[in-house]
Amino acid sequence: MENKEYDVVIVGSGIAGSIVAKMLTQAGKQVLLLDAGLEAGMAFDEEGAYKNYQDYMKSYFMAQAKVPNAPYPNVKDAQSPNVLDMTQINGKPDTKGYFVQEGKLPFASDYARAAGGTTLHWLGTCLRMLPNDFKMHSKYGQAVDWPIDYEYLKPYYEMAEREIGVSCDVSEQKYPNMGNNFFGKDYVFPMLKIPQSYIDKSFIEGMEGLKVSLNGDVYTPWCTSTPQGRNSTPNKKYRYANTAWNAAKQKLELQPFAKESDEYVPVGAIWDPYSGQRCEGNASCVPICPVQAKYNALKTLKSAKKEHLTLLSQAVATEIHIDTGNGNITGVSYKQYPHADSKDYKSGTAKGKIYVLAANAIENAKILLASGACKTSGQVGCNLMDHTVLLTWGLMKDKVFPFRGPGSTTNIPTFRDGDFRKKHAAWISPIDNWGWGWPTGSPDTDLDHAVSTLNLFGKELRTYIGDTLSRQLLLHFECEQLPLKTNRVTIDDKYRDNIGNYRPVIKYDVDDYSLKAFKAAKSVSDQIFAGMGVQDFTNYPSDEPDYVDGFVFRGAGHVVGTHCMGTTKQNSVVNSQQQAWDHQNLYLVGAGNMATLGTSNPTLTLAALSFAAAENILKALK
Amino acid sequence: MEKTTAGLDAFLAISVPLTGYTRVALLATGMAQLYLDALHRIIGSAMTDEYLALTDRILKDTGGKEPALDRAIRQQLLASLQYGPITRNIIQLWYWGSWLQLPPDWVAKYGKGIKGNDNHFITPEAYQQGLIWNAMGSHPQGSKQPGFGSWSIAPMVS
Repeated sequence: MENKEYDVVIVGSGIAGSIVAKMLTQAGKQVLLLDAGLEAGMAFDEEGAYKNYQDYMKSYFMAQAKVPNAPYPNVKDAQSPNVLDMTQINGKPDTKGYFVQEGKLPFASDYARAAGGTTLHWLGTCLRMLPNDFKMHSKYGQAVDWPIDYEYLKPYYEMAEREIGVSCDVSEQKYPNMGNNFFGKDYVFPMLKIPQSYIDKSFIEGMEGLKVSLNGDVYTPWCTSTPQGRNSTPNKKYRYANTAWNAAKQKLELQPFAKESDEYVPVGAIWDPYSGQRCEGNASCVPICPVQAKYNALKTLKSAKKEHLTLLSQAVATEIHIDTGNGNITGVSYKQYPHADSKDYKSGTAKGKIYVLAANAIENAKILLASGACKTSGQVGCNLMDHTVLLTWGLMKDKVFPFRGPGSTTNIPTFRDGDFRKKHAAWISPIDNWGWGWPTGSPDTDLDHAVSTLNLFGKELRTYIGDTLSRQLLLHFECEQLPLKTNRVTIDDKYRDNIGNYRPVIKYDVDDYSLKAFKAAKSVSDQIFAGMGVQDFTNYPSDEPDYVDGFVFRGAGHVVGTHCMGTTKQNSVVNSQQQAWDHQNLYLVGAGNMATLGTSNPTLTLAALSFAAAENILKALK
Repeated sequence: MEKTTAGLDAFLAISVPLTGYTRVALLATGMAQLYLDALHRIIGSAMTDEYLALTDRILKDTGGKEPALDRAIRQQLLASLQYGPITRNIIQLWYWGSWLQLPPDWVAKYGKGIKGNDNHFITPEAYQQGLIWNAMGSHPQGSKQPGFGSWSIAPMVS
């Protein structure tokens, strides 16, 4: 290891690192991939992969709070943040979790430091960003424009949709200001749409004809089926076999099927291609799909070219080394721990021609800060963003039978874009299929209430559960957050982990742009509930972690920003090629590059960006 | 763990009116013995036996008939400072699969030195066999998957 120089060293096996590893190895490059997670998570043989995943399932079943990281080992040597650690910050830094939270508000999202990264527990929503999301400054006078636009990213979105295996009916996708050619002519997704839920149908019917006022304008909100990274029925019209490097053209390209009779085959579980061929309705996508019908990055990593890929697990990247003469990176230091929670470790340095940090936005920032890298702009760690999620919930008039199917199968896209973005954040509203689980901890909290407070038992209890829990409705208002220099990740010598690596120190707050959106979104929710006869149970207790001005928001798990892409080395960390302005053989990938957030869940966009980055790296390696 | 089959019939007999599910439905979960074992393990065999003797008496005295049974369960079990929390825990075990920590006051008065009285699922299967899912027309999240597209139609509720 010490002596070998690879073409490329990648840090992180999440979707960004795995896509880059797959594209580079398939193009014949020698790649070393370091991952901080446990060796067991990296098993690709049938037995090893199955056993490890069953351990995850067992942890999930036994967990009292089935939060996103519940199934996955929390190793002291490579800790993961946990939403259960988020509490109000009262004057002094909150240090009890992995994050050191300095406030004012706690950053309420987590990620998984395990092989496959956070795609282990993502929901799978695969929305593209809208054209205006890339030009927030020129269009709405807010934040910044990206150095690239929607048209640039479009072919890479198609590659990402193939890689993830997105199920979607293109003809139903209707977003505000999407333009005439948002999806190319005749474009289809690899699989047909995931069936919309019984709740969705009831909701769509209930909302029909409803007009909603927002800032004096009248809207007629509509619903759209949601594109998802989970297996459905293959679409015979889909014609792409894979994505490959065209050396002559110096481009990545989608490759058509060799034969007319070929068609898309859903990618099953990593231990068994026949498991997870369809979403089976386990209704536990977050935190874990038992059959891996939902995409995770291990599927991509497994399809990398083995002969060219060296995997090193339990190896936590700590620092990158910089040649002070030309600014080039000369190596990545890592600490490899022999077993979970070990205080010992072995130090090593990985060497390559090119280096790729793909460790999650917060971890990437941490490594850069620890290395004194990318200093010119002063922006490393800044502009941390998440979707701030305002939830509203109530009881529908009729039974809609929640807690079934994927987490969300339909959304209201109406407020994803509009002139109101000059004043406040845009949002998307997924209709949730899992009752009040997120805000109230239902169903067990409702059970406890029925038994301990309502004093119900027997048939009465059974009837009560059947009559009330089956009517639960939950709406999300996932509001975009602007990039702010003050929302940032830093490091501090005082805060180190089990093997002496930095813990992220986070300063986080929401600004007026978000607060105004909460108010507007709640008003829209009130109008929808009133219009549909939903009995409103929404409440925002002042002791919740992210309570602000009468509202409670939650983290979406969308960790974005920290090494934003921009137009100059003064205003950003990476250029439009996703190459560090300050170090020409360093590429940063992942949601950290996103200059603004928009209203789409970031994974599809970061996956598309990762294909673009892989292409740029292949060009540079020529 | 030592099997404590002796009280199984009594445990099942009182669990029927407590849960609103038939004896067959409860047996079909495969959890009855494990839940009874949990009672023995956590509150001890002496109190478990005492409790089941009481529930047995209630069933005999009322002939298992309403409204006498309902009144007896309320007055002698749910309203009892000692047996109320145990009864509510048995109901929640069947519905959710998890033991709920008995409150400190109860422990101080009736259960000094008891062990294992923390919130915990009895086994991974206990969560998967919770009756609450069936009661609301669903299935345990992450288990007993009803199949592709099933969520787009109303469930069959038993």
